[in-house]
Amino acid sequence: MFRKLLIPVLLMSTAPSAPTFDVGTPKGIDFVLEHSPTPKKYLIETMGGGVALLDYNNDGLLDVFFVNGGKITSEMPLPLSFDRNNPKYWNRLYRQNKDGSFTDVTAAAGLSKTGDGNYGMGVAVGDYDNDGYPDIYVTNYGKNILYHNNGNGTFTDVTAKAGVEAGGWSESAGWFDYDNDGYLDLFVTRYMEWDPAHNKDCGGYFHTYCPPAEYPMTTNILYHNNRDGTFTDVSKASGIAKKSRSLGVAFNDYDNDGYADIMVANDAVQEFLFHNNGNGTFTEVGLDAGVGFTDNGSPVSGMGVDFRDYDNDGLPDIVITDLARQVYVLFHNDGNGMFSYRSMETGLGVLTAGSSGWGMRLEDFDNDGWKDLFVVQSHVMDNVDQVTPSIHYLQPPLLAFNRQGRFEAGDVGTSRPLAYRGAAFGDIDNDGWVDVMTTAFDQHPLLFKNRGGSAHWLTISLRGTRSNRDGYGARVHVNGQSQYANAGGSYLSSSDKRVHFGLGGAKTADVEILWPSGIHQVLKGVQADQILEVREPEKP
Amino acid sequence: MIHALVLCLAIQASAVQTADQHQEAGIAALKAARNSEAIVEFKKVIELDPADAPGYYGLGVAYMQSADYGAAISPLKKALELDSTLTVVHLPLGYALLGQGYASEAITHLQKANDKAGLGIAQLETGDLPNAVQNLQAAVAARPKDPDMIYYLARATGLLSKQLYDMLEAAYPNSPRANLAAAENYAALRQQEEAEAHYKAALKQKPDLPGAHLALGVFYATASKWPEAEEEFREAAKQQPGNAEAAYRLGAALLQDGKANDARVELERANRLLPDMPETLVSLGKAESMENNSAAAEKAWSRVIELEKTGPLASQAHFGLAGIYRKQGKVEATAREMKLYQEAKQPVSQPQ
Repeated sequence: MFRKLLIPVLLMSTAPSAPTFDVGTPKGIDFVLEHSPTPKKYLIETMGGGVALLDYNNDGLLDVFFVNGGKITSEMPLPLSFDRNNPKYWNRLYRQNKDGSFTDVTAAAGLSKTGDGNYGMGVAVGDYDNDGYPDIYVTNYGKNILYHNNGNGTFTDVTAKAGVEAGGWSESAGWFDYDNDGYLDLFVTRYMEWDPAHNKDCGGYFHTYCPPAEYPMTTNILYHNNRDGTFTDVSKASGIAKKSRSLGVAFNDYDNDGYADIMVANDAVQEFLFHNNGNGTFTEVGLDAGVGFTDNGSPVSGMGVDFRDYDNDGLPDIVITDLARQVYVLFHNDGNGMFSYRSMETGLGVLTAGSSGWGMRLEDFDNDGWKDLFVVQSHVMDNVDQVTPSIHYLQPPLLAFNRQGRFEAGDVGTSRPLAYRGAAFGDIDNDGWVDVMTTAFDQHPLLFKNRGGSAHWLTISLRGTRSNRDGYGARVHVNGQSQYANAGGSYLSSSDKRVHFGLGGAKTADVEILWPSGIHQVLKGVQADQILEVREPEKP
Repeated sequence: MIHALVLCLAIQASAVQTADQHQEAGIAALKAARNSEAIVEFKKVIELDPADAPGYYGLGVAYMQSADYGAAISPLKKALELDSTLTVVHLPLGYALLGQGYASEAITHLQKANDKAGLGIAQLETGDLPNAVQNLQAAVAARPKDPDMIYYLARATGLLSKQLYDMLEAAYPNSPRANLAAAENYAALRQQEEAEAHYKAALKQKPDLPGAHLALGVFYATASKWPEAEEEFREAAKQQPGNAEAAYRLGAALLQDGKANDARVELERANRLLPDMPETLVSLGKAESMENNSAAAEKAWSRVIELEKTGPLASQAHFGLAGIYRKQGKVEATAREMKLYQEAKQPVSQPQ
């Protein structure tokens, strides 16, 4: 069932309960991420690779959706094609079978049409019409596509009707309910104003991908869900239309006011934190909140982002992945609307000084009650080894265990370096241990399958009634830990929507859920080691 | 230079009782930069009086002023042949010879003219690097904004450095210092593996080789290998407890690993050994801030901006101060520091 391709997993050498992963490509998955590098060094070549874990057919097993790049040639004649009708460049949906293998259902599901002229980037999953089936939004260089899940194993492209094509160069996107009206809205990051005709030559002798500042900034987009299958672009009215070069987005309610805030990872310019004013507008507070720059006052090349509570103080913190020499950024939520830069104190300064990170997440991989950090890595420049020999294009992923607030290197299960990009997180085999599906250029996807251990766990599947059906935006507290329900974050990717808790030695859990509707739900003495479906009460 | 030469020429001319209208016309033409006319006039002088040394000198200077160094050499040499006491000839002759590539011959004249700049360049050309460096240093001190002089000094010191390294490696190929030199060369060439191997070889041969742990630490830090860097800096600080750089670098490495208290101790030590280094103070402020010692951080960063008004260290200090004031709810002070932070990080204009 699990076809091993890589180095045998090393045995745990530190704490006996520390998990490692079995690393390989699951049986039935033959997708290859085609990015088509050319001598022209078109920047889109090195930026794609989204992946999603979703249960599209509601059979209780996570399925996988991969976003493909496209064919690029040096000349790139107009109109742009990217040869997306060629099956080699399709996006792919794989249905998980009961034996853990996967079946390619792309064509049958109606997902083979990716749109000529679209070079694939990322994916966001959410049930925007509350029909109980997850829908898929694909971001592209070109026009984005919204696929509505018909509930019968097929999807329909509803982009035109929904009005969410965006255009330009979209990157990460995410579903969230910013106005708590019970319907998911959509945030789309966009990178820059670029087209092949205006591509530049950079790097002199070495000829490298251009730094982002070579191209003009652009704006992100916020689509408000009109509850009738259509959306309205409220970017300007909501106050999020600040120009930047955005790559990653994550959501959480950092000030516990009941409204989802937005953290945007920007490339080599100030990071954005959009505070939700609760009236349909946002205020960008990155500098005032202390998350605009590092402690040097310097921007980083923000790529992936997560917005979760790493130190179990009940407040969501922020982690941003970036390029080597910059150190992954950790902003600690101080609880008064302000954050402190804590990359060094948490050990990330040493662990990540030479790393370049993309897809990532804070998640409890060893179920000890503390969220660890997993990052897929690779530099953006495929010839960086020539330019700066101490920095590497191909890198293995990083697993950093959280030891009560300080991160320590863990054994990820492989030392093989690749050009990783996307990472989606979820419990593929429903064993209570979080797995990671990854993408890398020119490679079959690799699944980091958690080998598990003896610690207890609890996974909660939320079902909103007054709130949005997915329960996105619910704040869940379990045994002193907190989680925020949302499939977004990471880079270009969408994770298992269920919320996961490691319980360590605890065999029961007290669960408190603050639904976006405002309903407060408490469950006492919940048995550990189960996937618990929690339905939002109809009445407060 | 040319103006001075013309003045000297005028003095010479006035001292010669047989000086005629051509001589005076030549001098006037030189002063007015009518070089072709000057050449004609001085040629007439020496045609009328073939033993007139100032006439030859004037002709040489006119050629020099026309940038025809090759043509200048002959009349200048003739001037000295006729009158060896005519010392003003040495300077233009030295430059004329240097300009034509006759550096060895130029040296004699430039020494007599006591011109450090020309002499240093001539010595650089002939490979007399130690003397070239000495004379060019004096020239740069006298003309600190002359890019040509700075260039020649940089070139001379670089070549001298290479010459000494070559000598070290040739004469003592397996010595610890030769390994250290090779390591530094490989590091400069960004050949990481070779550099690390030579650093380690040097330290294996002589574990207490002065400067080696510090150099290896810097090498590791540059490659973002902070645990290894910390170990080397610790050794360096142990070997040389009075070395402020070792203490600073150890503090910075500890800071990178989030060991704020240990970092603070080393950075305070560095600041005692070599007070008021802005780099040390910026890092000290960070260590204090990480330990929530806002007052101490404020003190360190305030000192930085007393020392440096612009540049990356000043901008970091202002940004750090803004962070302190923001958390203290000091809105105006925060806004002021953020403004100064923006101003300080602007690129500094280059010296003219």
